[in-house]
Amino acid sequence: MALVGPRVVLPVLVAALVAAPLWVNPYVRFVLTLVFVYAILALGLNLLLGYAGQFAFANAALFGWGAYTTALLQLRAGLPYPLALLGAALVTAGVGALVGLPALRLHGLYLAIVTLAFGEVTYWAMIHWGSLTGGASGLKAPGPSIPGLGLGSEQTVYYLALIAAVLLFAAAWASSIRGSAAPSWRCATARSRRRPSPST
Amino acid sequence: MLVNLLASGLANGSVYALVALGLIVIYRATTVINFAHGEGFMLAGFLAWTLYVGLGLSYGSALVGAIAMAALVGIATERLAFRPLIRGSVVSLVLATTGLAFLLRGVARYLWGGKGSDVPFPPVFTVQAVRVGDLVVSSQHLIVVGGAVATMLVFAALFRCTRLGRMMRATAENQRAAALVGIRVERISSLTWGVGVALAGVAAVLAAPLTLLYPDMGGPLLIRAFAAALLGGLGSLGGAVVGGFSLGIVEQLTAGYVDSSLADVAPFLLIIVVLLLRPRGLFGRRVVVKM
Repeated sequence: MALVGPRVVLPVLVAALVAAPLWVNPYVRFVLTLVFVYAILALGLNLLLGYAGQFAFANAALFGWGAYTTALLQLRAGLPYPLALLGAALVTAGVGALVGLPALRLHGLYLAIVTLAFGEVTYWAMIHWGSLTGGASGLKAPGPSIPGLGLGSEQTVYYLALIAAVLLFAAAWASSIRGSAAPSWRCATARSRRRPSPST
Repeated sequence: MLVNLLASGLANGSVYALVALGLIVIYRATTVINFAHGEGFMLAGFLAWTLYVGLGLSYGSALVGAIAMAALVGIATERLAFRPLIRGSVVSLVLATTGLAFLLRGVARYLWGGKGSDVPFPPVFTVQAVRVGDLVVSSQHLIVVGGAVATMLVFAALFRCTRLGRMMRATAENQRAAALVGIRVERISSLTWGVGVALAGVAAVLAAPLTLLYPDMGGPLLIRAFAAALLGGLGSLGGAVVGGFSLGIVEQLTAGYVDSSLADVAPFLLIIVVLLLRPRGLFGRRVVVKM
C-alpha cells in the first residue's frame, strides 16, 4: 500500500478536519464549512455533467430552493432544524425531479438552456417575492443546535456539513461510480458526449 | 404605448439577434456554443468607450476598434479554448470557453473596473425623436435597428456571395472535403470565430448608448442570445435573427403590459414553454447524431 495513496490520505484528511475546529479561528472554520458545502454541490454536478453527461445547469438554483426551504420551514412552520433539513431535502429532490422531466425530451444544449432558464426564473422569484423570501436582503434562519453536545451553532453546522460531505461522497462512489448503477451512467454519458455532425 | 414598446423591443431584439447570429455562425462550423461570446461583446463595448469617450476619437474609429477587438477575442478563443480540445467532448469544450469568459471578465475588471459602478456611453447622434403622424419614435432606437439590419445584410452578402464566405460555408459543411479541395481549414476556422464574435462587437457599439457598460454584462446577454438561437432552432441563421427579435419584443411587451420586473424572466418562461412543446425550436431541423 502506497504511503501517499487515497487509503492513507483520506482518513488522515478527515481526522484533521474533525479536529480542525479546536485550533483554527472562526473565520477559517467558516471557510472550511463553505468548502464542504461546495464539495457537496460539485459532487451533484459531477454526477449529472461528468458521469451522466447531461447539460443540467439547475444545480445552483436547487441549492437556493434547499436553503430557502430550510429557513422558511423553521421561520414560518416553526419546525425544528432536523425536520426542516429533511423537509428541504425532500422538497428540493421533488423540484429537481420536475426539472429533470424535460431531460427525457431534450438533449444537449437544449437541456442546457431550459435548466439555465429555470435558474433565472428561480433567482427572479427569490428577489421579487419579497413577502416570502425577504427580497434582496434575504432571510436570517436560526442555526442548528443539538442538545447535550455543548457545541455552538456554527460548530454544529461545520460538523453537519463535514459528515454530509463524507457520507454523500461515499454514497455516490458506492452507487454511481463503482456500484451497480455505473453501467447505466456510462451508457448515458457515451450517448450524450457525442457531438452532432456540423450543419446537417 | 404599443408603438414605443415595439420600437424598444425591436432595438433590444436587434442586439440579441446580432449576438445570436454570431453564436450560430460559430456553432454551424464547430457544433460548439462559445460561452465566451458575451465577453467579446463586453470588451468591444469598453474599448469603444475608451476610444470615443476616453480619448475623444471619432465614432467611426471607435466602431472599427471595437470590431477589431471582438474579432481578436474570437480568434483567441478559437486558439486557446477550441483548437487544443478539438477531439474532446462537448463538456470539455463548453467548460473551456466558460473558463475563458471568466478570465476575460477579470481582465475587464482590471482595466476598466473602479470607474464608478457602471460606465455610461453618451448618445452618438443627438437627433430629435422622429415623428410619423402621432407616433414618436426615439432616434436612438432607429439607429440601433438600422445599424443591426445593415450589418446583417453585409454579413449575409459576405457569407453568400464572396469567396471567403463560400470557403467558410464549405468548411462548416464538411471539413475533410474542404481540405481536399485546397481550403486551409484551420485559417478559415480562425476567421469564422473572428467574424462570429465581430458581429457581437458591432452589437456592442450599437447598444452601448442604450445600456451601461459593466464587466459582467456578457453573461446575461449570452443567455439571451443563446435562448434566441434555440428559439429559432439551433443551427438556423435566419432562425437566430427571428428568435432575437421575438425575444426583445416579448421582453418589452411584458414590461409594458404585465409588470416591468417580469421583463427579465419573460423570455425564459417563453423558452421553457416553447422547447417543451417543440424541442427543436421554431425553425430547427432534426439533429443527426454521429455514431
